Amino acid sequence: MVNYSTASLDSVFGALSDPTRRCMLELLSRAECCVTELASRFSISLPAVSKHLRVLEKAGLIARERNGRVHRLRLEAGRMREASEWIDQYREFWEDRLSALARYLEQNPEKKKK
Amino acid sequence: MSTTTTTENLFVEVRRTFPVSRERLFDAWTDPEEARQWFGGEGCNIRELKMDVRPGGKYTLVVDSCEHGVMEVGGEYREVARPSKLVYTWRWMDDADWEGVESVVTVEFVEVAGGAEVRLTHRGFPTEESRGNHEGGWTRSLEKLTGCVTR
Repeated sequence: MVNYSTASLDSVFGALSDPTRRCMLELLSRAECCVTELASRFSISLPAVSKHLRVLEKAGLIARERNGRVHRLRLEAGRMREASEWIDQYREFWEDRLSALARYLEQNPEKKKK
Repeated sequence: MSTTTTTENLFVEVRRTFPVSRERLFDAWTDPEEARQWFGGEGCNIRELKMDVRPGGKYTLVVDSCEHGVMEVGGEYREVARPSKLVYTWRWMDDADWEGVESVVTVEFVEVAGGAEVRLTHRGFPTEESRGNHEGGWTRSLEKLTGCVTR
């Protein structure tokens, strides 16, 4: 239940909070590409693009491969999966609790008089 | 008895129908003696359970589970409206990762044919302004993205 680092999930959710960065992830989910290629899809400056990319990198959502001056970017699927697994743990937790409540109410349909 | 869940928008939603009144459900949820009986579940002992069920009141739950060891959960009741709704915060104590993090559990008890339905949502990153600002935006696209990356 508490094995996931909330701090790291925080950075994932923080990175996903920006529409430009989400758009970048969507583009990268279709194909790897290099920084200049990606930047050409946005009307913002190259430094601004770099800044967004650093946030995504820091959150572990993308990886950068340097080949001389060309930086190739690709999506890191694992981190995203971690975020959804974290959520699934809670779903399971509450499902179990509701099953236990169902069993309890079956045996105790009426509240006990004190 | 049916259960449906969704993970869309990055919160958990669990629903289940019980063949009892919503008053009965609400009481089973809020009476410490009753909650003790079911909240722990199998392989899980409740060592301590304190509940002060009123807006602003606090609760503490110490669970001893075979799987995870001793864990303490605590929080504060935000809304207490018998028999329809209960809102409380939820935080794992003694866990550095949960420092300053507060999640919110909302339980609604809804009348349905043949009984009452529990609709429970647990939001992980809810109230702080910085996190609140994130809601709506990233949450909608997460599912889409998750779909993208797991194909």
